[in-house]
Amino acid sequence: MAKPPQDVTDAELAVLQVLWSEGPSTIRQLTEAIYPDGGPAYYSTVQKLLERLEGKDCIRRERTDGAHVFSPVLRPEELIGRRLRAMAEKLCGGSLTPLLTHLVKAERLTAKQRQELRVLIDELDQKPRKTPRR
Amino acid sequence: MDTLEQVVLGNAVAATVLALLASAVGLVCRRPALVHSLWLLVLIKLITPPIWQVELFQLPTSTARETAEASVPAFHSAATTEGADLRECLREDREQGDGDESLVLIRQEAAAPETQDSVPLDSPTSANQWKWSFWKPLLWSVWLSGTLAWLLVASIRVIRFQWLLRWAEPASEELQERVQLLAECLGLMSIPKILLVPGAVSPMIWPIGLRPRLLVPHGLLDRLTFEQRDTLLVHELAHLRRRDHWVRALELIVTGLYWWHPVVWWSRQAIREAEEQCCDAWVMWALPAARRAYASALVEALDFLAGARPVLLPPAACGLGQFQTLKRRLTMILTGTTPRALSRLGFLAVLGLGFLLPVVPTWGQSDDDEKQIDKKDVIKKDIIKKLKDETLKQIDVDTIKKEVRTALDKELKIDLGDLGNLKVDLDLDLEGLVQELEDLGDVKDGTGSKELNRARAEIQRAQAQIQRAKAQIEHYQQVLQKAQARLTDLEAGAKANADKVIKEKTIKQEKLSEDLRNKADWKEKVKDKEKVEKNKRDLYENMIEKSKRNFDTEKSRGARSKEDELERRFDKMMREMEELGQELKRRRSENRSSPDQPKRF
Repeated sequence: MAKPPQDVTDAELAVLQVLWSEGPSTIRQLTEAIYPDGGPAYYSTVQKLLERLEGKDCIRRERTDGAHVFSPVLRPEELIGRRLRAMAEKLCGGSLTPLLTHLVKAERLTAKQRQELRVLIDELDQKPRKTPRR
Repeated sequence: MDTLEQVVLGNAVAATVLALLASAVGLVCRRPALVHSLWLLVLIKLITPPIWQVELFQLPTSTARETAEASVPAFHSAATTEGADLRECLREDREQGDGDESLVLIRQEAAAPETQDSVPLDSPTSANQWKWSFWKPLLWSVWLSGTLAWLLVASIRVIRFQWLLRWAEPASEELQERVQLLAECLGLMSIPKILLVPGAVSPMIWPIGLRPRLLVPHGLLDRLTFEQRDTLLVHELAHLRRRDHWVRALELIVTGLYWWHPVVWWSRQAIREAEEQCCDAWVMWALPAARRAYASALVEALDFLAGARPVLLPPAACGLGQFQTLKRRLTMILTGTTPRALSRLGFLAVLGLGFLLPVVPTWGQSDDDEKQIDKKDVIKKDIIKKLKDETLKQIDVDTIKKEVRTALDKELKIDLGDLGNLKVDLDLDLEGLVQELEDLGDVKDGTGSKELNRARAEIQRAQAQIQRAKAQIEHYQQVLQKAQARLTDLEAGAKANADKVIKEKTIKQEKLSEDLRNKADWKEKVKDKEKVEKNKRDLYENMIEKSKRNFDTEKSRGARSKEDELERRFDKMMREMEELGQELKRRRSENRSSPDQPKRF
């Protein structure tokens, strides 16, 4: 089942980055990694972020005795890929700030339309071609 | 500021015209390069400075009057009615001979009292003026905020995208070599850096940075054959070769400045379409045998892109439009005879248009008006020159008026048929002339030009200021004098006081010393007295001792005759004592006169 991919905020992304690099960690380890100079207030911030990430199905919580250990479900490529695609959309033609020169912009074609195009290719390929002009 | 707005609006209008031309050509022409160049010119036009002015079209006289250059000074206060009066007066004067010479011009002057500073126009144009001056800063601030917001959004997006590219991996050796080969084939000088990115994105060129980067999604690469991959790479390299990333920069600037003009958005879209078609043509030129591969590569890319987000129902217009565009593209690719670049003629045409770009359209005036204005200009300049040649004192109101009248007559004779329009023109001109006359010489009371009067007024003001300053100085001087007098008084008073005090002191001191001296004398006197008394006492005691002794001796020898003898002796003693007393008195008086003599008994 395809869930609409939810966007991950920058703070949540920081948490995920630590998880990717360090592996499964507890809240305390995460707090120390992200906010090395922070106090107890940051602990609750990280806790909240982890709860949100869990809600978005980006991480998994393992309840061991003692502290809970969090491990990432989402791979970095997936997330970055999603974000990259989102940013690319914003920077493509048709947006306010088109800075990218890209090949095709056609996420809105249905499978049916794409099939039509394939058929068209087959048709046209059969036709004899004119000599190209210089 | 007016010229800036004129330039901006002129550019916007010209760009619109060019855009229409470009879209017309796009419908007809088969060379995407030509269409692309035309749309590029549209964008460039929006930011070219105006170097040549071109009259585009003729406007009717009244509006020409409003927008004409300042050869006619802006002096339009209630022009029509005043002008009518003036003409009446002039006609009357002419009929009456030379009536009150200065009447007309004075009336003129009186009729236009404060129009030197303010510029009230005829009612419709004055209303426009007012509205424009109200809306202008508002519009400018809206524009500025739009530009800044857009720049901010663009910068943020660029930064975020750059940050995301940290997760990109450099491509394999083999891929890089392949790209190098293809680039050399296309004639590309500098090879871009190839990065493999995650995610379902289309292959693209990211121009921000020192070197443009070619971003290829590694998910797509896995799906393509080598031939298909080559075609896609050539497409992107063609973009680089055609310097489309510079066009992105141009779009950035133009959108920043002209975000409010829909032609900008239209032309951006059209440029992209043309670009893609041009690059397709490049791919066909570079890899002629790979048509089918290229077409299928495009559809594969579409699949790849759509795979991440399946769309079940097409949204209304967008999908359809893109679908049609893609069909067109694929058709052109597969049956293509699309020429890659501009033909020679096309190139010349574009170059010619390019030269015409720094042109600003202005609205012209109709010929008749021009002729009239020219003539009037000439006559007016004539008169003004004559007036300027004479010195101030020699300006003769009569001759001036006569000349003005003859000029008017000349004009009237020339333009007898067109009185209606002319009236306004004449009136305005006359007023202008009168204005200039006033500026040049005396019209009313012969005391000099306006500027002289102004200068005089200023001098008077300055003099008044000087007077006031002088009065102040005098006042302060008086105050100073008084203060000084007071100071001297105080000093004198103080000095007198001091003298008095000193005097008193000396007097006191003298008194004291006198007293002391007196006391000393008195003490001495007292001492002397005491001495004397002491001497006296001593004397008396000696005497008493002696007589006691005598009495005792006499007593010891004693007999009856003792008593007689005693008596006798006693009498003798008494006598001696009297003698002593007298002796003492004598001695005392002697002592008084000479106290140092030794005391003898």
